[in-house]
Amino acid sequence: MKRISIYLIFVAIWVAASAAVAAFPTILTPVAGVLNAPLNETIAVFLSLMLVLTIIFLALIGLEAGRSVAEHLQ
Amino acid sequence: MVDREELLAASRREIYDSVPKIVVGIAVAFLIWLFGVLIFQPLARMLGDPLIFSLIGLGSLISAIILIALLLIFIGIFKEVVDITNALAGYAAAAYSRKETPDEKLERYQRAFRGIAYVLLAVILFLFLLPFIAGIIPVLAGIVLVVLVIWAILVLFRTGRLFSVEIERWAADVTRKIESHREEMEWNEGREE
Repeated sequence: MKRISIYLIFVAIWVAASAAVAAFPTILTPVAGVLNAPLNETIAVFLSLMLVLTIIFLALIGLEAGRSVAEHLQ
Repeated sequence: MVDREELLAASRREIYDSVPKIVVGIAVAFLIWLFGVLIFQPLARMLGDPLIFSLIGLGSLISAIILIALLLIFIGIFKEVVDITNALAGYAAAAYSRKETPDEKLERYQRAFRGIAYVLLAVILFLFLLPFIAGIIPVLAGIVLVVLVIWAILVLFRTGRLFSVEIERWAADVTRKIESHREEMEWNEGREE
């Protein structure tokens, strides 16, 4: 249960970061400067990365939930 | 020939093993679907607005990533669904057997149950993937649906034919009962006259 809470916090962080970037895209300007890429592409990559991280953490939540249910059934 | 008790025990074991895995897989797929449809797709659409940021291809990219994740999860579930359908077929075959179940009957039941399970899984998969397929190429959703309907009809038709022996036997029993009941009624009426 503790692990699921940690994963949920991470999911919330990824989602909040995505929402923040969507609301204020210009906050990624320094990152785009460092990567030497246009801001548009940087935002697209960032949002895709956040999505992949969210999916991975949701899968981890599912695995953990399945494990705890299996333990409970045993 | 398969022993009835052995078949029932194996089926029960398989169901206990596979059901939790399927439930977890579908729950994860549902969470991903929920996050995708309610959070990431609207964000991508917002950034794709030409008046705001004009990231036109981002919506399709996000849809494609979610689509791949959902497909991977459903591929993982597929083996468990096949195991469960085999177990259900084992139950059904054992229910109509006294001591031993013929292999041919068990295999026929397994093929029939697998057909039904494939159609159900394909329909659930399509419902999950629909917003994301439509997010990439809207026309593709319609094409996939047409192909799915034709395929489902063919599979269900084949499944119906696999059960035809049982249906014929059941129909013959019912007809025989109705016939004997009618003869009895006629005989009673004749005696009263």
